[in-house]
Amino acid sequence: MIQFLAVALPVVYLAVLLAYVHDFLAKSENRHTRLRRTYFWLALALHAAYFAALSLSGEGVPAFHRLHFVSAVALTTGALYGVVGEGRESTRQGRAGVGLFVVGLVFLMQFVASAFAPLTVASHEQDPTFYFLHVGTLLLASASLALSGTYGGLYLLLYRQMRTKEFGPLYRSLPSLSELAALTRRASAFACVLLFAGINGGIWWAHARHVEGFSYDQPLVLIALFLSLHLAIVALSKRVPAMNPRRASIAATVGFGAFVVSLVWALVPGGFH
Amino acid sequence: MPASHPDLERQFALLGLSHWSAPVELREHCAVPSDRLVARTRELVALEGVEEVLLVSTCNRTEVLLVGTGVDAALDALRAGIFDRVAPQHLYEYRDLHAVVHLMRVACGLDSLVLGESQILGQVREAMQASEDAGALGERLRPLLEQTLALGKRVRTHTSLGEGTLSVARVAVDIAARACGPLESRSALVVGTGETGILVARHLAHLGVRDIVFANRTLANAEKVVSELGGRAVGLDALERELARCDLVAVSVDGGRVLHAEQFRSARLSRRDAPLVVLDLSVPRAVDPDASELRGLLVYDLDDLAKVVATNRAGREEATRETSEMLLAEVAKYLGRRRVARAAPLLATLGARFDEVKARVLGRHGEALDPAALALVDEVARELLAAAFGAVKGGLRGEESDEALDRAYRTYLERR
Repeated sequence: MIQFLAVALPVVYLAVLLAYVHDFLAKSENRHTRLRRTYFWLALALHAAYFAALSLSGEGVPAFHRLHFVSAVALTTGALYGVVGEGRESTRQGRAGVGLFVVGLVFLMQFVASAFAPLTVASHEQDPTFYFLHVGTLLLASASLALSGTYGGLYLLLYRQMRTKEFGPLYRSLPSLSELAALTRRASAFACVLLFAGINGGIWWAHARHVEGFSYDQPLVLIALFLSLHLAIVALSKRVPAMNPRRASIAATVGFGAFVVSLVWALVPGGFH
Repeated sequence: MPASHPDLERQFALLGLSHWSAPVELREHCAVPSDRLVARTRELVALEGVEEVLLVSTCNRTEVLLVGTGVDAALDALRAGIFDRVAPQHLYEYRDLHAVVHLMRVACGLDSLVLGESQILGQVREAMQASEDAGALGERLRPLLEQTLALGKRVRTHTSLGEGTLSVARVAVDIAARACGPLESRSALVVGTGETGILVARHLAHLGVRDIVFANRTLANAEKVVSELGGRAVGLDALERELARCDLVAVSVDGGRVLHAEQFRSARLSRRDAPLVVLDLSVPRAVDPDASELRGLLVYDLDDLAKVVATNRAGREEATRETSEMLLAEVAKYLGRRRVARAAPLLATLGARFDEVKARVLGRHGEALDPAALALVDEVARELLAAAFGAVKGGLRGEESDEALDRAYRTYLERR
C-alpha cells in the first residue's frame, strides 16, 4: 500500500499539474478550469493517506527523515495554498495562476521524496506537545516560506512582464501586482511567526524535558532565527523605509532560496536531531 | 469585380496609416488636432481634381478619403504634405470600391484597435461634420457617410461585435487594475477632459475609484466634468503635486507633451505600495517616453494597449462575419443608389418627354372627353410612368450580384 502510494503520488501530482497548465494557457474559463480544484484536493487527500499509512506502519510521525520531511512540507504547502490561496484566487478571477507554480513546487518535492524516501518510519518522540510546538509549527512555517517565495518570485516575473509590455499567460492568469505583494507580506508574516515559535517552542520543550540536541548555538537554529528576522522585514515592508513591494519580493524569494539551501545543508548528513 | 467601379463615377481614393501599419511615433506626427480638422479639410478640398474630402484623425489613425476626377496628383500632394515623413510601407492606399469598404469597416469598428469599439463612430461623425463645415461634402460622400454611420450604429445594436471590452479606455483601465488590484481604494489623475478622458473617468468611477482628479489646461472644462462625475478639478500647473498623491494616471490630451520624466521624481516612485501606472492615450504622446525607464513606473501608450487587445479579437469570428455581411449589403445599397443617381438625368428627360407627349395627345383629343374621363386618363398615365420608373430604379438598385461584391471584399482583405 505504502509503496503503491509512493509511486502514485508524483503521477497524480503531475496530472494535477497538467490540468493547471491547461488552465493557465487557456484564454477563458473552461471545464478543466472547474475540475482542476477537485483534482487538486483529491491529490492532497491521497497524500494525506500516504502519511497516515506511513505513520501506522511505524511508531511516530514521518517527519524526521529528511525526505519524509520534504514530503510533509509538500503536503502542508499544498494544503495551506488550497485553504488560503486557491479559494481566494478562484473566487475572484475564476482561475488560479499561482496554483500552477505551487502545484509545480509540490510535485517537485514529492517526486524527490517518493524516489528516495524509505517506506518505514523509525520510532520517535511520542509527546503530542512536541509535535504541536515544534514539528507542526515548523512544517507550517516551511510551507508559508515556500508560498512567500513563490508569491515574491511571481511578483517579480509579472512586474518584469509588465515593464517589458509582454501580455501573455502570466499577465492573464496571475493576480495583480498589488495582490501578489500583499500575499507575499502575509505569507512572510505567517512564516516569521511560526518559524520563531517553532524554534523557540522546540528549545523550551527540550529544556523542560531535559532532552539533548536542542540549543541556541546550533547553526540551523541561528539560521532559522535570522530567517525569521528577515521575514519580519518582508512582512512589515509597507512600514519599512526604502522597502517597496519589488524589494520585498526579492527579499522573500531570497529568503526561500536560503531556506532551501540551509535545509539541504542541514539534512544531507541524515536528518534532524 | 475590379475595385474600380463604373457606378462610383468619380475616383475614390483613400490614403492613410493606422495602428496596423505604423508605430505611434509616426501616427503622432500625422495626427491632426480636432481644432485644425476643418482648416485641413478645406486645404485638401482645394487641391486640383478633388471635389469631396473626408479627413479622419484619431489617436489610432489618420486617413484621407478623396473623391474627384483626378485624385492621383492629390495623393502625391498628401504624401508630400500630411504624410511627409512616413515611409511607403507604413501607408495604405485604397481605390474606389475598396476605399468605400474600408471606410465602412472603420466605422463598424472592424479595423479598430479594440474590435467593435464604439468611439470611432463618433470620430467619423465628427470628421463628417468637419467636411460639411469645410464645404467638402457633396452628393457622393454625404450619402455614403450617412449610410456608413447608420450601418455602424446598427452593427453595435444588432450584432455581438459590440459586447465585452469595448473601448481603448476600458482596456487601459483593465491594465491599471492588473497593477493596482481592486481600484476601490485607489485615486486616479485624469489629464485631459476630452471624450477619451471622460470615458476613462467613467470606467474608473464605475469600478469605485475613491478619488478622481481632473487636470486640464482650461480649468473651467475640468470643473464642468467634475460637476457631472464628481472628484476634483485642477489646472496643469498642479500636476506634480497630484502625481505624488495618485495611484494611476490617464492622459488624453491634444498638443504634445504634458508630462516629463523629471515630473515623476516628486511621485516618490521608490516608496510606493504599487507601481504608478501611467496610461498615455494621446496621439501625439503626452508622456515623455523616457519616463518608462524609471523604476516603479509603468507607462503604457496606445501601441502597448494594442498588444493587450490582440487577444480580444480571438473568438469574435462569428460577429465579424455577421458584420461583414451587413457591410457588403450596405455597399451594394450604396452602389445601387449611385446607379439611380447616375440615371436620374436620363429619367428626368424621359419624364419631361412623357409629359410633353401626354399634353400633346390630350390637347388633340381632350375635347372629345368629359372632365372626369380626362382626369382618369391623366391619372393612369402618371401611375404608369411612376410604375415604369419604379421598376427601372429597382432594377438599378438590385443589379449588383453578391458574388461580385464578395470577390471585391476578399481582394480588399487580401491587400491588408
